[in-house]
Amino acid sequence: MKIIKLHTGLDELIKKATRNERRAQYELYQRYAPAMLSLCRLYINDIQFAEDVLSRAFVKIFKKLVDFKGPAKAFSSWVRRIVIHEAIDFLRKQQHLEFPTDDFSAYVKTSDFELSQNITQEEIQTYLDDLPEGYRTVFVLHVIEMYPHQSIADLLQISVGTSKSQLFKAKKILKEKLSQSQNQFS
Amino acid sequence: MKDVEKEIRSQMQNREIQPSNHAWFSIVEELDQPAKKSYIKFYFIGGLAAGLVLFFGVYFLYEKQTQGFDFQNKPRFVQREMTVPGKQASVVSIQSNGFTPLIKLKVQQIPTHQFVDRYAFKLSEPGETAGYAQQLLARVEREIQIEESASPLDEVKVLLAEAQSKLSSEEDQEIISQISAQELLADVNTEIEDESFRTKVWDAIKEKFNEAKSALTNL
Repeated sequence: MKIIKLHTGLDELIKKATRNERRAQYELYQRYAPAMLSLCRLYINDIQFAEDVLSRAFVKIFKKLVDFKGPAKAFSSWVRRIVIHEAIDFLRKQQHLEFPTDDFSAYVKTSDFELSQNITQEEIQTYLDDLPEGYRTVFVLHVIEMYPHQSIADLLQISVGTSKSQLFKAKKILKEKLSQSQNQFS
Repeated sequence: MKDVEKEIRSQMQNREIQPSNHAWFSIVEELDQPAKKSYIKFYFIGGLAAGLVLFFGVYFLYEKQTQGFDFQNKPRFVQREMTVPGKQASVVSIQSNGFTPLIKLKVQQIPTHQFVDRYAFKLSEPGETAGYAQQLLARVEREIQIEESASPLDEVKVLLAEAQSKLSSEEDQEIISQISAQELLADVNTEIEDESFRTKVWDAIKEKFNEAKSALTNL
């Protein structure tokens, strides 16, 4: 019942925001901005830049709201997709996105790794920040956003093999860092 | 690593970072900009429209001016003669020749032969005045040519014919047929040249002179 009410309220908010009603836009912003800033932060190291990207993404969202024809429950995914595109565009403009072309077949599959202790959000963010931009972007897209390699390749305009190699290297680095961290606490 | 991935996903998907107020203000600022852009667009379109109107206005004005030369060559008003019941003389009326007259024009009903002399120069249009002036000039030149071509003897003949037509009695007609103008003039000349007539006149003058002289001496 609550979900139905939430979606009905969201429908109304979207309609009002489409009519450029600032209050409705602000409510939508308040509802989605925190999660979207977190998403931006996964791709962008600097929180200020992440906020700038968030602002640009929401401007685009409100301007393109007329084009959103899907149901209210799809709104979150639609917003998320715009934010991801904006973050990747930012990285491209900053020329941070580099994908060294390595032969993926040379890499051996990493062995499974289990966490002996819970890992915090701050720790994960720190490890992600240490990754090169290309590795981190592919890792976030594949592991957190659950994009298939083909979609990542299309989005980043790289080959599927490059996407897999970037992911492999990202996992390898993260595993090393996490095992060091686990060993410290154990 | 699968468990690690799941853990990372669950941790990061549920994470929220509260943005600063600056983020919202920059959104509002950006959203307000399109309104300014729309004004710019409006001014641009308005300027473009004004430019087009100006261009076509000048173009049509130019076209009208070039057409005006042909317009001037065509008579704006046409004289049409018509007969009015109860009047023997034909009258002329001035009618517009399909153009809108620049002056308020009354339809004049005047005899044709009086029209040019009386009203030609009262029309305020310079083109029409010049036209009528040319017509008048041509008419005067024609009359001068006619006068030059006619000799004084022809005129005398015309006058005699007029006088003959006025004399209606048969006796008069007989006398006229017997006496010519030259003979009458010759008679007059001979009378003037007669010596007796001269002496008579001279004697009369002399007599009157003497009377006057004696009267003066008596005084």
